[in-house]
This record gives sequence, structure tokens and C-alpha cells, in this order.
Amino acid sequence: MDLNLLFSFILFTLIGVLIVFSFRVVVVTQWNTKVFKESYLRLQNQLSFEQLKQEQVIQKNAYLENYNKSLLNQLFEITKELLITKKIIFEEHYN
Amino acid sequence: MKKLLFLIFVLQLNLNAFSQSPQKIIDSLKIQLLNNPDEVKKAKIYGDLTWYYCTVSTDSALVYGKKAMSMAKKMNDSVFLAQTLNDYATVYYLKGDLNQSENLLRKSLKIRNKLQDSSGIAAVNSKLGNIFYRKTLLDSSMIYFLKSLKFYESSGNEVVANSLKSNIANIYMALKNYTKSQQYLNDNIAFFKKNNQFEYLSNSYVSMASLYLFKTDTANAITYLHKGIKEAEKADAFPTLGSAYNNLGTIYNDKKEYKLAREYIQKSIEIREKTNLGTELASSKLSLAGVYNNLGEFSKAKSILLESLKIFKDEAMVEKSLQVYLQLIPVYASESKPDSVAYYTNLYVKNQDLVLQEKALKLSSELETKYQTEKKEKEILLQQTEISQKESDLNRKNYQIISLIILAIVLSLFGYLLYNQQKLKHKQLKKENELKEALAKIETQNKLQEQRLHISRDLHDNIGAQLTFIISSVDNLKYGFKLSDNLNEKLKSISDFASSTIYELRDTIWAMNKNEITFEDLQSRISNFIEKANKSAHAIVFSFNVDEDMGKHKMFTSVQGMNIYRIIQEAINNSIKYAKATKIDVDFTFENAIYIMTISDNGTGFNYKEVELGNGLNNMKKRAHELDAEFEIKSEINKGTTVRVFKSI
Repeated sequence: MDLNLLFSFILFTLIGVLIVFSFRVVVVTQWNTKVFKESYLRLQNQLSFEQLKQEQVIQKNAYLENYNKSLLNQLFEITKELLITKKIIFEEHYN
Repeated sequence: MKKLLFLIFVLQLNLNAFSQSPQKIIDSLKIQLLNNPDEVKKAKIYGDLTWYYCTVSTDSALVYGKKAMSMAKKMNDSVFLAQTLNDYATVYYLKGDLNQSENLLRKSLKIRNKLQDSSGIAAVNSKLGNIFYRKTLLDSSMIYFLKSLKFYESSGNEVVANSLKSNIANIYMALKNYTKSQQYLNDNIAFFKKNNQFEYLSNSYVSMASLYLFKTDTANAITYLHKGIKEAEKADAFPTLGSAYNNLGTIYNDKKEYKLAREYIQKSIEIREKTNLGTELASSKLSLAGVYNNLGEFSKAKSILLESLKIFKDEAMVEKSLQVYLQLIPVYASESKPDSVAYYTNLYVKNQDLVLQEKALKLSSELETKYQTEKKEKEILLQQTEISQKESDLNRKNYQIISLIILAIVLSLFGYLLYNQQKLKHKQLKKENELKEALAKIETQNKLQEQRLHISRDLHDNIGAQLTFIISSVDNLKYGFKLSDNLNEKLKSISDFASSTIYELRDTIWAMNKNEITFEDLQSRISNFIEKANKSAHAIVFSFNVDEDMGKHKMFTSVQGMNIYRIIQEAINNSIKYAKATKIDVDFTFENAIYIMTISDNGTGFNYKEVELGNGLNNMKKRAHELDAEFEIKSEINKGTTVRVFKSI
């Protein structure tokens, strides 16, 4: 076989293969970018949702902190009133 | 016969020159030269003078041709140089120096080949065809004529193409292929007749006459010569006319009709004297001398012959000179001069031998040239093959180098694309990881917060259960034992307070169990509350109005919903407890992109400036702030109180 012909054949095959690979790389890169964008968007949405959720939970906890204080005061008040009533009952009973 | 053909051939070459009054043109060109034109114009004038002098004086033509050629070389103008060489070659052709003419034409052809000047190449080929014809190299002549004919036919120049066909017809005539020659000439005659090309037509008629002479058909030859003369007279084609008359005279001389022969030859001489072509004039005169000899008018013949001999010697026309010698023998014989007769006889014999030797030499030299040419052509062909092989190798190598460069480019591109892909992938992963980390962090924080929320819920459940137990115990105590009114009152107050705490707790649990509260949910909760309030305060008329423009699907966070609910609760409780109101209105409106919540009563009211704000009012203000809304309270004594919370979108 003519060496020149063989050389040309190998050369063109290489060029052809490299062009095909280059094309494949471009397609894969585009596909990866597309997948990444979708995944990134999903994660961002999830993060936004979690942030919103966090904000709500923090608000709730802050609210509950105040409310719990007020609730404890009310319980203290009830306890106090009950103790006073108990004292009055005892006083009435033993007097 | 050959002499006749030669004359016709010269005519074909110089047709254009004769049809343009050369002497007049020469005079005007010389006047232009006197005006000191620039170099380019001067060179062109020299070139034109060379061409026009061809028909007048070949020596002058050579002088101007030399000048034109030197200027062309100086100007380095290839086109002009090629034309000058062409004109110069024509001069040598007319002088009879065919080798020099051929050399010059080959130089011109080389330049025109480089310039790819197709029309110029065709003109040179035509002239080379003429030279080879004159050299009796008929095959070469045919090749060059056919090359030239191909161009003129493809370019649509039918007149020149047909004139070339006339020359081809002459070659066939020389090759004794009379049928083919006649066929060509008939075609030519038909074409020139149709297109009124009288000069070319006259040439064709004269050629046809020559053909008939070859065929020894003198009658037809005479007819065609007459036709040729008629057409040549129309076109003032003097060279053709001169030839035709001369040929006619020669025929009549052969037919021994000497008077007629003399008449025609004398006409030929008259015409040729006008055209200034010395050799042709001398030829006619030679023919006339032959007639005079035949008529026995030797003295007349002698002067003409001696005059012609001088011209033939000057122009080195040996064959013509031989004819003169032959004609002079009877002249001197008639004068009884045996010495002169012997002298010219010897001269004739000697020169004839010389001519024959020359012819043999010429033939051998031509054969040698032909052999050498063929050898060189073979060498050239071999070299051309080698060159084409090398060119092909070079092309293949270039091709491979280009392919390698392309491969390198494609490889670099591939590398760059791969690198870019990895870089992009790395960048994307980094971004994704950052986001994932942030998400994980926030999720952990949320879990912690939710745990706190969960603990609060558990606590509320416990407290709710304990409060229910307290209420139940208090109620049991109240109804199980006979207690004083004072104690009963106290227990009732504890039970009510515990109940209100439970309600408050339930409301809070309701709100905290939801992530978002719709306006409809809130509306129903508020309605429930108002209903309950209405039960505990029968005298008060409650109204709860919601504007239709309020978005029913508006969403609140649980804290926002709770704050709104608490504000309404606080305001209504205040109205019931302190204002002694008979009417309480709760309105939700939406005006000019502002949400407005109004709680108003028709109670006793208070002086806003004088009264110090209590916990209830401060709480309402604080909650409005948490809602990012404006809080407003308006109250006048005996005119009721209005609490407004408004928020723009």
C-alpha cells in the first residue's frame, strides 16, 4: 500500500474523529450546562423556601417567646389567686 | 505554377495593409513624430510606421521596426513588444528571410502565451502557417493554420476564419488534393459573396484559377481570373489585380496569344508600379520579357531583363535570376554574341547547380532541424513529465502539510473544548456545593427552630390540660361546697380568667399550627370571636363588614394573622369593658391600594391627650408595628373611639 495514501488516510481519519469528538464535547458541555441550570434553579427554589420557612419559624418562636412569658404571668396570677382563695377558705374554716 | 501560388500567398498576408492607403498614413504618422510626442506615443508611431512601410519599403520598415523594438524593451511593455516582433517578422517575411521571420514570430508567440493573449496567439499562428507554407513544410503549415482557425471560429470572426480556409485550400492544392481544395474554395467564394467581402472574394477566385491551372484546365482558369479581376477592381485590391493580370498574361503567353499576353502583363506592371513592391513588379516585367522574346522583340526584352536582373540580384532571388539568364540567352543569340550566350548559359547552368545544391542543403538542414526539433520535443516532453511528477509530489506534500495544520487546529480546538468543559463543570460543581452547603445550614437551623416550636406546643398542651383541670376543680369547689358569696365571686373570677387564658392558648395553638393563614380563615375566626363577645354582652350590637375588594385569598403568616386577630380582640374587649358602647363595628376595607382595618364603637370615649396609654393600647401599637402597618386611634368624649390599622401594598 502506498505510504502517502496510508498517511493521508490516517490524517483524515484523525481529523474526522477529532471533529466528531469536538462536536460531542460541545454537545455534552451544553447538556451539562442545561442540567446544571435546572439543578441550580431547583436548589435555589429550595433555599428560598427554606429561608421563608426559617423566617416564619423564627417569627413564630419570637412570638411564642413573648406569649409564653405572658402565659406564665397569667399562670402565676391564677396560682396566686388560687392560693389566696385557699387561704380565705382556711381562714373561714378555722375561724 | 509555383510562382503563381507564391504571388497569391503574398496577397493573403498583406490584405489589410493595402486597403488603407499606406503612403498617406505614413505621411500623417511622420507629421505626428515631428510634434515631439511622449515616449509611449512615439513607440506606437514607430510600430505603426513599421507596419505601413511593409508595403512601401521593407528597408524603412526594418529601420522603424528596430526603433520600435528597442523602445518596447526600454518601456518593458510586453504587449507592445509582442506586437512589434510580429510586425518586424512580417517585414522579414516580405523580404523573403523566412528563418528570421520565424524566429521573431516564435519570440512574439512566447510573450503572448505568457500574456494569455488568445487573439495575438492566433495571429502569430496564422503567420507561422504562411512561413511554413513558403518553406513547403505543408504539414506544419496546416497545423498552425488549423490552430489559428480554431480560435477565429470560436470567437465568431468568420471573415478571417474563411481567409484561413483559403490558405488551407492552397495547401491541399500543393498536396494535389484538388477535390478538397476546390471544396474549401467553393465554400469561401459562397461566404465572401454573401458577405460582400470583395477583396477576399477576388483572392478566392484567383486561387480557384490557380487550381484549374494545376488541373490544366486553362479555360476555367481564365474565367476565374476574370471574375477575380472584376471583384478586385471593386475593392481596389491592387496586389490581387496585379497577380491576376500577370497570371492571365502568362496563360495567354503559354497559349501563344502573345498580343493578349502583352496587354495583360502590361496592365499588371501598371498596377504593381502603384503598389511599390519591387520584386513582384520585377516578376511581371520578367513575364513581359518572355512575351517580347516570343514576339521576337529581343531589344525590348533585353532592357527589361537587365533591369529585373538587378532587382533579383539585390533581393537575392536566385530562381528568378535563373529565369532571367535563361531569357537573356535568346536575346544575345539574336544579337549574334556567342560569348554572351555562352556566358549566360554557363551562368544559368552553374547557378542552377548551385540552386539545386542549395535546395539539397536546405532540405537536409530542414530534415536535421526537424530531427533536432523532434528530439528536443521528446526531451521537453520528458522534462514536462518529470516536472508534472514533481509538481504532483509537491502538491501532495502541500496537501499533507495543510492537512497536518488542519489536524493541529482541530486538535487544539478539541483540547480547548475539553478544557473549557472541565472548567465549566468545576465551576458549576463549586456553585452547586456552595448552594447545597447553604441549604444544609439553613435546614439545620430550621430543624432547631422547629424543635423549639415543638417544645412550645408540648408546653401549651400541658398548660391547656392543667388549666382545664383548674377550671373543673374550681367549678366542683363552687358547686360541691357551700361557700360564701365572696368566695364564690372569687372562684368565678379565677374560672373566667383561666377560661380566657385557655381561649387565648387555643387561638395561639391554632395560629402556630399553621404556616400560613388565609383571609377567609381569619375572617371566620374573627366572626367566632364576635359571636362569643355578643353572647357575653347582649346589649351591644356588633357588626362585621368585609369589603368586596379585599382579596379573599390573601395569605398571612401565622404571626401576622395572630397580630391582626389580637388587635381586634383587644379593641373589642376595651370597648366592652370600658366604653359602655351599644354598638361595635369591625370593618375591613381596601381603598387606593391600602388595606384598612377599623374597629369603632359609640361608647364614652376618652381624651387621648390626657389619658396615659395602658398595656392594651401599647400592645395594639406594637402588633401593628410588627405587621409593618400604621396604627391610629381617635377618641372623643361621648363620641366613641375608632382604632384604625392600615397598610399600603
